Amino acid sequence: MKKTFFIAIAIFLGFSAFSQKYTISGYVEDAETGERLISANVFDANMLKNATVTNVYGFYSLTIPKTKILLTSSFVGYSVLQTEFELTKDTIINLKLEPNTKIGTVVVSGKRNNVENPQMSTIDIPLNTIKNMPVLLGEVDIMKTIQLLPGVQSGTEGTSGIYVRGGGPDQNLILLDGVPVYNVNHLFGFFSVFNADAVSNVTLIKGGFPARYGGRLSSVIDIRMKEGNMQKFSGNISIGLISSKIMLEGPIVKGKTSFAVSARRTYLDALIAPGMALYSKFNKNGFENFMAGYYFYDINAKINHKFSDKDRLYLSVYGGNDKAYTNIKEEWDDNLFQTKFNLNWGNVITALRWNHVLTPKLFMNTMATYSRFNFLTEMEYSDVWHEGDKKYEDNFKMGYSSGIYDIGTKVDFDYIPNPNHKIKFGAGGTFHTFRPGVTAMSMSGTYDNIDTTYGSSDLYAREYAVYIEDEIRLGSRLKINVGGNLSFFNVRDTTYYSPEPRISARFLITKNWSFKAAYSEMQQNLHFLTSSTIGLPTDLWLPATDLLPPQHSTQYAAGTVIRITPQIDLSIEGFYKEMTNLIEYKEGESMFASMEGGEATGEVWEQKVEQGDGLAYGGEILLKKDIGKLNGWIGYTLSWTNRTFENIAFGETFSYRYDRRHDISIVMMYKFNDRIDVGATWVYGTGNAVTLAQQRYASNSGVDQYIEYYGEEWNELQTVEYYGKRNNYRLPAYHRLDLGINFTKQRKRGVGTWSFSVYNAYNHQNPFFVQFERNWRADNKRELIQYSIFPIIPSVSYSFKF
Amino acid sequence: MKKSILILTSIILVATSCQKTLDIDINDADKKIVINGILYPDSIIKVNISRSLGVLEEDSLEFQFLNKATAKLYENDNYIETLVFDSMGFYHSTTIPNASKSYKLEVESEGIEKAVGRIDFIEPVPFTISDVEYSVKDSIIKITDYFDWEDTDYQDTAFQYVTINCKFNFNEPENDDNYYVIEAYSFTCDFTSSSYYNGNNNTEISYFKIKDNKMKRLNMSLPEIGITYDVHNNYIKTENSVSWSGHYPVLKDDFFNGESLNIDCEISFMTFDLQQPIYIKMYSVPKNFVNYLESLNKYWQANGNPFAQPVNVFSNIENGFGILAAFGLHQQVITLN
Repeated sequence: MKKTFFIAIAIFLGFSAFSQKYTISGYVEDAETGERLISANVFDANMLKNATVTNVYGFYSLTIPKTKILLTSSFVGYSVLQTEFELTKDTIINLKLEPNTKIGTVVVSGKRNNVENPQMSTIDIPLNTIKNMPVLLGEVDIMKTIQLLPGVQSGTEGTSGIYVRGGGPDQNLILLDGVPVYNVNHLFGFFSVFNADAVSNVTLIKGGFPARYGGRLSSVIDIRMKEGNMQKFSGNISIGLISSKIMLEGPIVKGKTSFAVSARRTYLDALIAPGMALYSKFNKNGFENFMAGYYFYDINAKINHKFSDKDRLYLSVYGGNDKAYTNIKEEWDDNLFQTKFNLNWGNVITALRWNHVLTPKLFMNTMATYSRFNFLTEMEYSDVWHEGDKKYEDNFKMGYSSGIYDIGTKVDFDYIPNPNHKIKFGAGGTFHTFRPGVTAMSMSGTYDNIDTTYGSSDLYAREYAVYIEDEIRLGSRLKINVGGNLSFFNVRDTTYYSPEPRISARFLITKNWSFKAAYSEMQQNLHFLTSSTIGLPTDLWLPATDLLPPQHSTQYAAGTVIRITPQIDLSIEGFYKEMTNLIEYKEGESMFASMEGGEATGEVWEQKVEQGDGLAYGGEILLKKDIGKLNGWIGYTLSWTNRTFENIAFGETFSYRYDRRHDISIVMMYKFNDRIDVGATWVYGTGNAVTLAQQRYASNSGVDQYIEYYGEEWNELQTVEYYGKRNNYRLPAYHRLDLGINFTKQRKRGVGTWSFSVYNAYNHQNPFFVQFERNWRADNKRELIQYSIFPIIPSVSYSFKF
Repeated sequence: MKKSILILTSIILVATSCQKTLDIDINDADKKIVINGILYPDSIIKVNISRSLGVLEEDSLEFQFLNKATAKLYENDNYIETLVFDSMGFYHSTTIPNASKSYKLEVESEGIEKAVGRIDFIEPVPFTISDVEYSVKDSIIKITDYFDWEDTDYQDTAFQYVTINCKFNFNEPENDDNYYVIEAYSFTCDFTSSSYYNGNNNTEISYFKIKDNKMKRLNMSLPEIGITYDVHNNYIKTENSVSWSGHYPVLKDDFFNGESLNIDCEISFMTFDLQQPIYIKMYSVPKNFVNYLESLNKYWQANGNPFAQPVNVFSNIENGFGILAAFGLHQQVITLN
């Protein structure tokens, strides 16, 4: 045994000595800002098989035999950088790429090679595209851009919810600098919490998930915040119809420490305040002092310090909050009546990250994270009145809060022994605290004095995960990424284990044509309790429990990528996804029902939901051009999605609400010159599936009546409606055209841009909801009425970059 | 001019973008016969027959009673009679059904497809009442506590508040899924009812409480589930089964299937006449009726709630709508000495 071991070691060392390999490593950075570039190509132009891409922290490592090397680095939007030298030892080189600002320049080699990449169902979304697209009310929105990609369905019109390959809105692992974000909605989902000014990179993964990701079934949206310009101070100010933004970045110690901070706030409340004041002044019907308003804000901040070429520390923080409020006050004589109502919800996300290069081949990222989402509603009522000389006072106060709080740590390693292997492994743990809903109530005065808190107690869960994956090149045509993720989830006295195998492979048919296939299993240990079609803050994140096991999915995907021209890629993919243990409210239940009578308590929520299965399958086509004067994409999705719950709809399989047979997105942008660029987006989707009544009939009213009328003639009938199968009706197809134009002008101190856009340019009445109503204009006839809320909406904004 | 047209067009586009009528394809041929009927042993069969309305159909007559339908009754698949029409969609049999036999009702009406309902009676479960103890408390009804009538002629009234503790004994059959409803009532007066002031006795349902955790109610009630009122209108929270006027929890035998039970019970009520007997009834409720009740409760919970998915009400009528169910019933009487 010992002999065999020594022989093996000797052979290994012998090979190592014989091959005389050395490692080049370092970071790829923006030469002007010092920003690290994710997924930049690094390769030896003399020997193209010696190639790699930077990881999410901009780090690369290339181990190759002793040779004369033409080290080349390229990235979309940057000029190619090449440097030639003799590789005789391990070498650290930080590659600084110059941004290519010349309009229309085609940097062919700068494009990420989707034909080569073994990862499938993955789309990098260029920030420039996000920022230049025409948008609703001038608010640039990352999530709404993602909605335009094939395989991704938007939910209710105007909202940021995304539904990937038949999954729910909760099944997307949305990471901001590696930290999960639980609520991505501002203004009930009409805007997302991500301020595009603060973001440097967005990647969407819909299938073939690498082992390093886990915890959600349907997608990963990896958003990275800007690190801050290491070289010079710069910024951007933007003024829009409903909000304004500011972004500042710059060095604290040049080349060593930098910061980036951005903030955004809406001013709907300020805009309507004068109207409210006028209303209060002239209205004498008891609302003399009526105030109501709504606003949201968010702040992103990041600071990073480079200790050396091997060590770098980052601290990133996000904070955002929405608030809606009303305040009614009436005063007469010495009497006072006042009611206040507040709705507050928001996220706080923090990540402390340390990047350390252990060896030229081994990179380590260590993180400590905190993520919090909480929702608070408060109602206050006070009444002061007099009867004779006696003064009375009643006070009532009630608050309801819910939320989720996470504390986590994580360590990731990238080990790149040679260009044929790229090994990633790591482990992490998260301590979750769930607050399913607590109500605090106090009453005093002529009522009984009460000061009480009731509702569910906090629930605690521990989640751990370890993973390993290896991207292996097997010959010149085959590349696979194989790995596994093992998670443990402990709640109450129950522990769930989940071994999740992952594999994706690419076979190169020609230089510009590859075939890809992937298999992945995912487990989601968190459930999301929602019954709304928009992003309400009352939606609850709750853990899998002994009664409600975790959700699980198995996805198969296969496809092909063809590089039609050096600038245009065509991707065709098919997928088949099975999901189990999905949750839905029981029939007749909803979040409001669950809050009645203080019953959103303890285990009660578990009894209000059903678990069932889902199935989604379909195909996607993406024709994409990222560079050049004209860029954009055409996406088409053909898909089927359904759900089966034993105790819902009598166990029949029914179409998922967002089962959208056809979904088309066309996104085009054209840059005429440095001063003018235009954009257009057209979307088309099969109508959402909704449940509509088909017939009405006479029914009795329940057991009370049967017993009370026992032995007597009864005739207490009531009308009930018969709906047939759930989601039995298709709303009319959705389609919309958005147009935008940007005028850019070089000013003395920076660049100013006027942006004009028109949402729903041909004013198509898209259905928001439908309901049966009586039409008094037509003999009180019952009709199905469609309501649309987004007509043609023009908007304008101005931004100044300095 | 061009500018004016542009502005005007813009305003019209915006203004008309709110709502519009959608065409919906509703097939009138889908209309169904609706049969509703609850049957008790030792009583004739009585059902109500109507037809459904298309969702867009005019409904000046809210209930489309079928007064010329043919309702044929079969006993063990043998035709025995055609039900007799009464009024307003009601039909009755002349035969009193035999609880040991099965029945089928076929209803036909011109222009609508035939609907069929099937009836299987449930054997009632006998029970006894033992260890009866009671207390009586004199009290006075203060009308002004209950009514805000300034010009009322009604007087405060003396009454007796009775609390009976007893044991409810029965052998639960070892079948799957048995459901029960228990009630207690007495022929006394409900002082809040106008019939009291007209000098008429009426039926008052008493407050009946089962003091045994095994007898958990089926979790299917209206929003006030788990919270009931006692006769003093105080909130009480209980996991036990409580029935009171207008609210009848359905008990499921999950926790006492096949057991011989002696359950402590409490019955409380107001009376003006201690000599009146107290009737205690236990209904054996068929599973299909429980399904119907559950779905009806869910239907009303979801109805009008934009955040809940609509729910279909359970029906056991083949090719039609409605519910046809037969209860089993056993009754005992307590008389206070």
